[in-house]
Amino acid sequence: MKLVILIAILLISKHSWAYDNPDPVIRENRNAEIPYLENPEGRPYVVSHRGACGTLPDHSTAAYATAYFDGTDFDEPDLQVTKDGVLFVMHNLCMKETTNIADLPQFDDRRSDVLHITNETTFKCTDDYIVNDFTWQELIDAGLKVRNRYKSRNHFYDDLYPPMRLENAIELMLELNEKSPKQGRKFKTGLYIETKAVRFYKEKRNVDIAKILYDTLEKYDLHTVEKATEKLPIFIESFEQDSLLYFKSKTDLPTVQLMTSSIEYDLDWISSYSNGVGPKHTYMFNQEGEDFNLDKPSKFVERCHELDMKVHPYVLQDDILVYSEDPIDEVKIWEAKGVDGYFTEFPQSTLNTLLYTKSQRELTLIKE
Amino acid sequence: MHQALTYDHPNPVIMKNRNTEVPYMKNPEGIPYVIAHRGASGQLPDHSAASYATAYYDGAHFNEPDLQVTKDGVLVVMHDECMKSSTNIEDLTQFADRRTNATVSTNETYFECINDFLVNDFTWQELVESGLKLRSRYKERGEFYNSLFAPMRLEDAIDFMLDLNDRSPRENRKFKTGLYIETKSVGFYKQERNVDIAKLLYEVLEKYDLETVEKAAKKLPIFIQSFEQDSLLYFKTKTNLPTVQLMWDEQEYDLEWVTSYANGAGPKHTMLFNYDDEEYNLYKPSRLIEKCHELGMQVHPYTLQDDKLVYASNEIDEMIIWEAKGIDGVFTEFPRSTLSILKHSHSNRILLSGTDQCTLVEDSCT
Repeated sequence: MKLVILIAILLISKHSWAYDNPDPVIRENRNAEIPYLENPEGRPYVVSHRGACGTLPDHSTAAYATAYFDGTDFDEPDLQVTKDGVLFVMHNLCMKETTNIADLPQFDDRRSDVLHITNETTFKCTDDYIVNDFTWQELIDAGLKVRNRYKSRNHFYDDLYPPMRLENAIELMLELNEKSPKQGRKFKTGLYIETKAVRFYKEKRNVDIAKILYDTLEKYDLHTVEKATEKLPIFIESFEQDSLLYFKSKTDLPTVQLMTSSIEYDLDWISSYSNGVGPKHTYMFNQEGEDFNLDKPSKFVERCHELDMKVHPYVLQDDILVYSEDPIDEVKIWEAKGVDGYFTEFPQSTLNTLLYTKSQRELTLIKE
Repeated sequence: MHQALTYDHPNPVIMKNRNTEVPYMKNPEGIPYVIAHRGASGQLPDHSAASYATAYYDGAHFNEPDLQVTKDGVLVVMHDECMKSSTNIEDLTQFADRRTNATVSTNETYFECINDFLVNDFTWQELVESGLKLRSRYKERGEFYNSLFAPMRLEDAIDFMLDLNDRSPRENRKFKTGLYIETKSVGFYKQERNVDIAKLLYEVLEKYDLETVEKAAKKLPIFIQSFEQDSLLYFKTKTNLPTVQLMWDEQEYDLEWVTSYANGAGPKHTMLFNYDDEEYNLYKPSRLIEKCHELGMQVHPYTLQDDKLVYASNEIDEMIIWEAKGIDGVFTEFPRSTLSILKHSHSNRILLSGTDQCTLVEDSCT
């Protein structure tokens, strides 16, 4: 009898072991139900990495709007912070690569270097313009504009769009959802927000970027799952676990642990504070004991699913394919691995293929 | 000698021009041509520079300008004869009293302007100085870019394409990305407004040294398309540039006559499914296309719109269906999407059977 009870307890509480974060607040937030965690449309989520940056400047309003009309489920802002505490939507800590700042002579003497290496991230800026060395207004007044980071991509829109603050991105998404609501979707098109360099900003610049983000979400009344579900679905992602632990102590919004290919991660630990992972795509192919293949479910994804975590790998780039020679095959390969979402720079292309595979599945069901 | 009978145009100049070989008539890549209808107008304002640039980088083989003409004889790239639908002209109060009506209805073409602003009633300078901006003709495609881009003259479009090809040449392409130019309302402009828009187009091409197939093949591939046969007959008396007869489903066309002056046909897509009593189907070659091919004409139907699909519930299935009909090119408003799907099914065909007869539909690959 005891054995039966023991087994029963083991079976029933398997979940609570997985989420057993020592901190009760984090534990409770982790276990909160999130209506939009899984895509109700019966296909993986399409998350537009830096907006539709395959065809438009990274993190420009145009990239976000185009992604929106392309049918993306989320736009994906990265966050930096200016000298005066403004959350600046930009991937890099420094500005040469994706703006026209090198053309602005008034900033010639403001160049600097950054080298910040931790076990989770590496940031390096050489003779560059660091976002945190400037105030927001001086950048805007100087005519700072964003550009596409790849030489081979469309540069027609370079220098047309100024950068956005997080507030601009939030307001843009709220407005797009209101003025041009997507037909037949259960949830609005949301924001998948990355905190970058949390430790750098804290340790070297004495600013808590995670807290500023939380305060901004609170200002827009988006800081709980309940509110986000109604107004603007939000995910919080980071390479740095401290950031996600902070968020899970403040809110039940879903958190996603990003994973680079150069670190060992404890998935059980991650699942105690994280609703999902965002691994580099190589994780789907190279787990121990797994033969490289393009069409079988990924052991890694299966493990994450056992731990009740969604998997959103990065980054699908139609012009820089890894596993195949065309974007349609690439999407299908990731789908065969079992992913729950895609970080993609070509949301329309990715969504097209997912709609196709979905209708093929439905066709098969009808036949059966 | 079947060919001589088919191309037997009574006018020897037309016959000679018709029989000139056009190096870029067929896509050397072995997939249908992707012709960006009004540019990448699925995502950007119709006929804006942005739309053309995006289509270029999306890999379109051609951008596709429609032409209208201003009061002072400037060729403007615009689909409609009047400007309400695809510009912000209604917001420009200085033009409030310039509204008018115009209707044209012939067996070849139709347009209706009601309480609208006719391009031909304005000079180019007036339009430029007024702050006129292009917008997407479909509200559901979004208003984000609506106040950003001014209309182009044909010269601007040509300069732009030459510049793009020069600065960012497409890799692995035999020919540069060209222009597929439509003359619209040729009869209306001639009869009602006393201006010969076809002649103006020819002169602009001459100015840019693009008025023959030899020059175009090197510098900027050109097609001339029209619903109005007079326009194409005019061009075929002046040049050997390829001409394409557009077709709509409200008219009967004598294909033997068409092939005597046109290198290709641009039918509405419905005509690929209902020609000559054929049984409606989604996966067998089109009788119309078979007939056109017999007569030595390529077929480029219009218009594929990812957000307004006709035969399927998603873009990939739609493209499979169009391709199964045997198209040689497609007018599309989503060039990136279309090109990606065409390349994908092309490589699948090679993988599966190595022949061009195979499509992706189960049963038809043997």
